[in-house]
Amino acid sequence: MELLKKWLDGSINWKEEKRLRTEARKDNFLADALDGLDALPDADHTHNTKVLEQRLQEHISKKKKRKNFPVRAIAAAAILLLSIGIWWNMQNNFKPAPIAERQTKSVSPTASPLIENKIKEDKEEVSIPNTVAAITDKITDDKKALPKEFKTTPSEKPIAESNKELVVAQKELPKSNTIQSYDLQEEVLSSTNSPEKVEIPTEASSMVMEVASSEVYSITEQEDQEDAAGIAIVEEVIAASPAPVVMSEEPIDLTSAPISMDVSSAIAEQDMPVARAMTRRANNTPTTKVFPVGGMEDFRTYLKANKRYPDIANVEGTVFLVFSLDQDGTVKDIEVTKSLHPAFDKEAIRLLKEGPKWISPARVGYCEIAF
Amino acid sequence: MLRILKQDKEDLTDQELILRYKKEGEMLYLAQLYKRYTNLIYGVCLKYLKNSQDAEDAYMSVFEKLIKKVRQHDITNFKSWLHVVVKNHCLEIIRKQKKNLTISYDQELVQNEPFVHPFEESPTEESEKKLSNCLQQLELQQLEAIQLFYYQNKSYKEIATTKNQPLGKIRSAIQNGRRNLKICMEG
Repeated sequence: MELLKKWLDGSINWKEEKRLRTEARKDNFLADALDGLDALPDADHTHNTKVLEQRLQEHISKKKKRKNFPVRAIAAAAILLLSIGIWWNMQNNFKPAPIAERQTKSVSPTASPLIENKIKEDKEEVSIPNTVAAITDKITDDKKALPKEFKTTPSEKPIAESNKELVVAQKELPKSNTIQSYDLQEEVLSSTNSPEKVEIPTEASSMVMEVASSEVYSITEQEDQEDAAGIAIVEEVIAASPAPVVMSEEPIDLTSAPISMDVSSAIAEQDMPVARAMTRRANNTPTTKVFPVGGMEDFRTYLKANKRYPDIANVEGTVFLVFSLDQDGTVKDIEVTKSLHPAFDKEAIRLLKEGPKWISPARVGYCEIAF
Repeated sequence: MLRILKQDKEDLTDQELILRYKKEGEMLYLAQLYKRYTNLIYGVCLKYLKNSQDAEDAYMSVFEKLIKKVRQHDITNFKSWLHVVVKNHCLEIIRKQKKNLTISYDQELVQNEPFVHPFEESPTEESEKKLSNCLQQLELQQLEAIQLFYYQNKSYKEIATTKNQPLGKIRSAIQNGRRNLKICMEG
């Protein structure tokens, strides 16, 4: 075996070759192989076999990935569930805080029409179904009836929010559940009349949230296409989450704003692998090819721009290289499998070293650089 | 940890690798085993299929076959078993090709030119004379390569660097020179 390797890369002398040939007389496999390799003396067998071994490695890692796919999908679903859970949790924790603070504040009478406008705007944005719109109209009507000095304003924010939640929930809930959420809305309505009942809307909304979240859970627990639905829901939730921030014009809410923004962005980040997994599944072809970051086209332009021709005349051809990759895709352990000339090899190695990072699932790569 | 595992795999014998693959179903063991014979497999494929592209494809598909076959068969001598599998796979491909194109390949396949080193036998005075005669009839390039290889005990690679020529060229120069010598000596 060692002799054959030596023979292939040309570092064998004739005595060793003789030994190899003698061995081949007893070993049919070796004899056959030598016949084949002898037949093409011009070809670079060392390079070819190295590339082959890499192809094999890639092939295996591709297969493994396919095998691991269900596991990945489950992991993605778990992350999704977790992120939703965290989000709801954070929402629950935030809400009482601004309400409590707001209650201590004396509210200027002009604030309430402003917020009413906001509510109307929000209505347009979310496009509430007609029945809900009617109810929310009623809310605004009720509010108009109240004297402006009346301390209902603190509870308006939670109402607006819970309205939103209701809208979200109603979208997700099957028709049989909508009645329940209407009931909740009525509760919210009744609470607008008395500031003491401020806790009720929060409770009600949290109940709605529970219903909604359980709905989301059941959806995400299902497989494949249902995953997409789960993501759609999360997107809606994310879309809804900045809304409280928009509504609030007072400094108290602004302090909570960055936090909720963080949460939604965190969710967006956590959803990334899921989204990626989804697109991969859609294409049904896992990207396992070896390529430089930025793509082959960019790499070629990089080579063109940075190639320094060594000062040697009459040398032309291609350097073949194999290399391995760091965890972050940095090229290392470069090996020239087909040399052109020491100076050109050196230049090729330099180009590869200073070039972009590479992406390869098998952590190995190969490339050719033509001079 | 990974390194230890890797080291471990390299030290295992063929038989141990097969056993582990069968037991754990881990393809890396099989790949490790397969890689040991890359040069041989590739060579055999080249012999039968005659071009590197087909040989490379055959190399990959034989591995695919092994994934199943190794599990099904009780293998005592992996190397010779593998030889048979590779050979059969190549013959199968040729048979398929033959359906489309009729090429007589058998003649060529059987014709295994026995490899003879011209400098093997203890030289008699006569053969020595003949040899130097024949050497002079060689092309300059072949002569140079043969001299460097056989008389100065250089490797192909060393000759390639000193003459600043690609390895393949030197290899074919020596191969052709040797053949010419043989023909000359026998004729």
